[in-house]
Amino acid sequence: MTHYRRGSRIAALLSRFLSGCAVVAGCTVAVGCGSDISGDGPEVRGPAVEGGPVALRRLTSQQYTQSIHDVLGEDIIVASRVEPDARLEGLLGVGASFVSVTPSGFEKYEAAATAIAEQALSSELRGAILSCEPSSASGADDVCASEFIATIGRRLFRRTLTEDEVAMRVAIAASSGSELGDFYAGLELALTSLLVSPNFLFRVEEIEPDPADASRLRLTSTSVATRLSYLIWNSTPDDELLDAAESGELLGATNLTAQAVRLLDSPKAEAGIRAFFSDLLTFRRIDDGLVRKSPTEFPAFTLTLAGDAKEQTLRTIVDHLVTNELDLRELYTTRNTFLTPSLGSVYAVPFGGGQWGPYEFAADGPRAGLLSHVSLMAITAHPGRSSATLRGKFVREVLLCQTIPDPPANVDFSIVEDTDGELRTARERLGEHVTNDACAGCHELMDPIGLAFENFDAIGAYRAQENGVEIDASGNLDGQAYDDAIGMGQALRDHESLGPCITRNLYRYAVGHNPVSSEQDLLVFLNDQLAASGYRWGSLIEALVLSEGFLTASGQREAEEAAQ
Amino acid sequence: MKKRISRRTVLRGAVAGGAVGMGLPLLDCFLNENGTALAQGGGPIPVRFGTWFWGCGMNPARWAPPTEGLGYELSEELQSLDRPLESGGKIRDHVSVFSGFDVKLDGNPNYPHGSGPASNLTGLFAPADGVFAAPSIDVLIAREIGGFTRFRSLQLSATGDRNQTYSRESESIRNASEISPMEVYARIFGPDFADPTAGPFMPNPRWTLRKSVLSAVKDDRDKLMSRVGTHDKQRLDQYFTSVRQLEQMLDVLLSGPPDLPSCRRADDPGPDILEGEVFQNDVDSVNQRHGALADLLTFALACDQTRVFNMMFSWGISGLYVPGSNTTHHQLTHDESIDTELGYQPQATQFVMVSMSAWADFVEKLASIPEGDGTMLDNCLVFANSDLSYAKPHDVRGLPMMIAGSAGGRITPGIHVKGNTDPCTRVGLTVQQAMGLPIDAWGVNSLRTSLPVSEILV
Amino acid sequence: MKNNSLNWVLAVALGFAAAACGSTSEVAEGTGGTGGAGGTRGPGDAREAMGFVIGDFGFLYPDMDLETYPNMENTDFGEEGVRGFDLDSQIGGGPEPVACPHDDFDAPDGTPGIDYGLWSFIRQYEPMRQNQLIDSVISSAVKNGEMSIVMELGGVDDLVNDDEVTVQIFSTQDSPLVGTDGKVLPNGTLAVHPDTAYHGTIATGEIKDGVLVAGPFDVGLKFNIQIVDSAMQLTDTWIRLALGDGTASGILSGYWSVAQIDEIIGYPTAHNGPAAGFDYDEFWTAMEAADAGYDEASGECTSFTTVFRLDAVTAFLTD
Repeated sequence: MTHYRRGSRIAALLSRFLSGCAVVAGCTVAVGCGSDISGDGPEVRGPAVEGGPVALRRLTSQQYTQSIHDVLGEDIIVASRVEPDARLEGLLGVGASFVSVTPSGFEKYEAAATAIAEQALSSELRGAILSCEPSSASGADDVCASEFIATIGRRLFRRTLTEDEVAMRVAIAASSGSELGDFYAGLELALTSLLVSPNFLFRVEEIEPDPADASRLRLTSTSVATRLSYLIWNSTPDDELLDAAESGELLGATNLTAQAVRLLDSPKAEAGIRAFFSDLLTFRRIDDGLVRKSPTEFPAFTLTLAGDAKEQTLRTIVDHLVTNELDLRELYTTRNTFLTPSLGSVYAVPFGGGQWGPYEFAADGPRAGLLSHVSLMAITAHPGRSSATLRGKFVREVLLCQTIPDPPANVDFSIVEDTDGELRTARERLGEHVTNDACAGCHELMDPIGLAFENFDAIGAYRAQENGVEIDASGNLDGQAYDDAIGMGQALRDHESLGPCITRNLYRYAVGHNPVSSEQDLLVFLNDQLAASGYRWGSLIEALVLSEGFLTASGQREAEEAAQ
Repeated sequence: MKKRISRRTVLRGAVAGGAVGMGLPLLDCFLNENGTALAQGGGPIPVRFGTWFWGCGMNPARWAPPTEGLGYELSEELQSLDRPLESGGKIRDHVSVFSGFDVKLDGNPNYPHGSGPASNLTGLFAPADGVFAAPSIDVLIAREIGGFTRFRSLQLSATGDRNQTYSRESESIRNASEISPMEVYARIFGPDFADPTAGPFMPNPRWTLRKSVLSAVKDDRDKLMSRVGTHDKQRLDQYFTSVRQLEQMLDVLLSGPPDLPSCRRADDPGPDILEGEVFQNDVDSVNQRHGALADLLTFALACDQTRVFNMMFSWGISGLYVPGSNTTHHQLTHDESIDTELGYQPQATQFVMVSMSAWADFVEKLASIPEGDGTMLDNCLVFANSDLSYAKPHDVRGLPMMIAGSAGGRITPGIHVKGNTDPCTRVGLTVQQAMGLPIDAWGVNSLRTSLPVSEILV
Repeated sequence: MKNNSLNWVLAVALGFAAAACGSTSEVAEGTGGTGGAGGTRGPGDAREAMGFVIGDFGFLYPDMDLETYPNMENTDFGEEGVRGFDLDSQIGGGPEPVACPHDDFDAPDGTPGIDYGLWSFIRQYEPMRQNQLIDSVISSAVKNGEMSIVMELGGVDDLVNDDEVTVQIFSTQDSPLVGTDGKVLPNGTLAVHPDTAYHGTIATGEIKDGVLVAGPFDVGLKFNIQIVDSAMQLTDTWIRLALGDGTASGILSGYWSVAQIDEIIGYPTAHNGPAAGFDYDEFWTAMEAADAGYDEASGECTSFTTVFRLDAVTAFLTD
């Protein structure tokens, strides 16, 4: 079972937050306590920052499906194709706060909603969500409809509905039910109207003045509840969390901590960490069938293998960070993983006897760490060959948060000529990139890093040679030299940007926007917390959700800010 | 030109989105300048606009026709247009070619594969890689003529990637592509399709009920507007437009099947892919999907399900490959050396020929549907374009463009026009004018023009 | 001889063909378990010798254009010769007096005496022909677990020249992994059959210039294809394979008894109707051409010499 260890964590957190600090009245901005949560001081709660601007955040397709399952039932089949998610600066979680709904997208949402409503209110499944019976099954019953709409609507909108919102749907249920001569059919249309409402499709993050300091804006408690549950569960708040939020008992230190721990402790937390890493590592491309390999070159790259590869890396991450609470930097050096027989054949290791099982790569073998997995090697390669440039770009941008500038204007590629097959390895071919000044600047950042992985072909299978020439995978990552991919993984583990980058990525995934200047100090603080904990994932999440950046905002995002 | 009021006129309401369900006098706003906005009730056949995109351009010296004007001489890379048509003549008679029209940069960055489409389709400079500064030309046209049909527009891609689309509502809002013939069939010709050959039309009561659902969410959206910032207001405006589009779709459905003789339900293309396969980008698979999507499109157009479409054959960063090869079209345009005897890159050029052949296939399909006195192609304006001219150095000068069809008689087909470094926006301006948009000038700075390509305008 | 279409073959074969879609069976996911040193599986678990899994297996056919193949007149080896063995070390039949008289074939290099008695039976029945029903059924069965075969090479010091190696063939209940090109993938892991009845005897052999020759051995190739659950018992079998980079390709030749052929082909056909076109009497007439296994008591020849083609790729074998 992958869940965080509960008892010790509550105790640890509570002691950190309640020891040695005056209660609310005694805290002021000057001593670094934020909101109405008591704190030890800056080293615990973090600097008194102001979070960035908030905006509507459209549910990703995974969140859409998961939310439907949590509210209306696991058995409901949800259309996998709604509006595609948009990746912005590397994360779907950030793109979600910029997208809207296009005409064809809305058409798909409406069709999906109709199908969902029909299933949810079918005679087999309706019992789970409908606790009243209509006075007549062939007409309207406003009382029962009202009860259903208010209850389910609260879970779908993630807050209690207003009277108008309920009344409108009750009217739909009544008129449709009468027209169709079927109470439940009428209710289906009311449910559909909830499912296509912007209040469901978008997470609305509302802000209010902080009662402790009117000059600051904080997220309302239901907005915090929503942020918390989509971060940790990748799904909608459950009743208990909503109750806490709407009773005004979420934003207190103890309650927020307790809820955070409860969520982390739940089996549903695995979905949350998987969603984050899937987003960061662009695993959605595998789900969407976009990681394709030439069947004649790489017949081993079946759909099964692609799915297994993704699953291998996610299981490795969950096992490392959650089950065993290990140092996250060692994700790039660990030899522990999980395999299936089909993965075994690509890794050329014996692995029989059924499906998933733990496996440790050989100590003297070429593989260690996530970057040696089939998943990442395949994603960062072309259909027919490996790509040192793509792999280097991935390490720089995704793992180290270093920006690679765009290619220069009017770049002239005519200088990069393949001299009739004399250049046999990728290192030789890419050498051309770095001999030209216009290209070298950026390619020097990317190619050498990617060349460390040339022993892994376009699907991550090992090769010692390319075109008869022994592969040279040596290089240097910002001063730390390595001989091969294993050494590269170690250099990555030791890189000073690794911690800050994962912190930055988790933070912007959690709040849905890129950090603004007022949040930079907070990122430093969070990274310090991460480091102090020995790079434990749980500590980072907890520090994040209890921090000002998560709980406050500068305001609603304005159009000019968005254009930057 | 006046039209008699049809039942559909009563139910559909005005372009601006009001007065549904009331009988309205036939206002000019129902018709565009050429009086062809209404297709039903025995009126003229609608004019359709579409784009057809292929990636990684061509070899300028081998693509641009050697002669100008009507009856231009076909170049080596346009030989596919020499195909005879069943309806008479050849494809080239219906295709105009535009060479030497440049994408101007004015010192702005040339984002590889990004600046070309951004400027050619919006008239503005790309603000960032992959970003458009304004809605794309198909959206501008769809906003004019899209409200009369069940679907405002259709985006189709043979590349197997939904995110590959150049249709933009705004900077960050793309209209995703349909990639699956099976799904396209279900979407257009599924249970809601009104088949004119299927006997008397019975409106489905659910359509009206679905509209009632939509008024509730419009209300939700109005209430949200007051609680969000200006950025979100724009996004909620887009949401509202999309809800309205669905309402209009339901209105169109309620008004019954189109009265077009060439309309019938398309054939079910069957399941797309065998189990365990993905949408591969080898030339054969792409051609097969392109053909299937194009077939469905012609049926959709014949039944007036939409009047605006975008068909993508290959993406700017073209992933086309030949089975057994370990490299792709795009990769080759950069890596392959120029053959000193031939004077071009032989493998990369193979894909130019593949693309031009697919273009000919597409035009041929439109020409195979009889409509009025001629064919559907006569009532179309298909704007073919690419992201670059010569791909190796990401050249955006002389962007290759073609127009197929006669737009219902508004343009003269079969002419080669040389741009002589004029901005590419001249063609986009011409296209918009031909489709009836009230526009005199388009684009900014060096991309700005008020001079359409009059050689092709009737 | 009439062109019989054996309906039982059709029925069974169509069943096979439907089942032979090459998908590996999906076992329910186990739990993640704890990551520990070596876990429950590791490199030490595989058998030490060099393993192979058979990716293609079937009767040996002449190398010819399949378009013309169904024409009986053209189905012969001719100048190409038969890649096989002189199993009975005689040209033309057993020890004197000639016990099971038959014609032998010539090897590709002209060497006479190559035995392939079953060929006369195969060429009479269209479903047995290359790419026809039986052949495609067998080649599918090899890939999908219905008749999967693995092979182990022991004592190999040098893949090009080694004068003492061993070869052992096993059945396996596991299915090989199949790639997007429809062929078996290398480096999969398969367990040898738990029942040692389906472990072949160990044969010694040698490798010369990259070609492995080994024998004789006996082996039962277990198969379970719809209505027939049995094993193909081959005796005094020899194997010749060209060894490549992770591949082995060539032929396997041995004795297959008439009783077995009847059990697997003849009897089921005759007793699973409708079997229109199949004549059990004609079958037995064809069986009279058996070219080996002279039984003094009955005075009959009781087995056929048979040649199979096979292709293999490397695999990890476990117990």
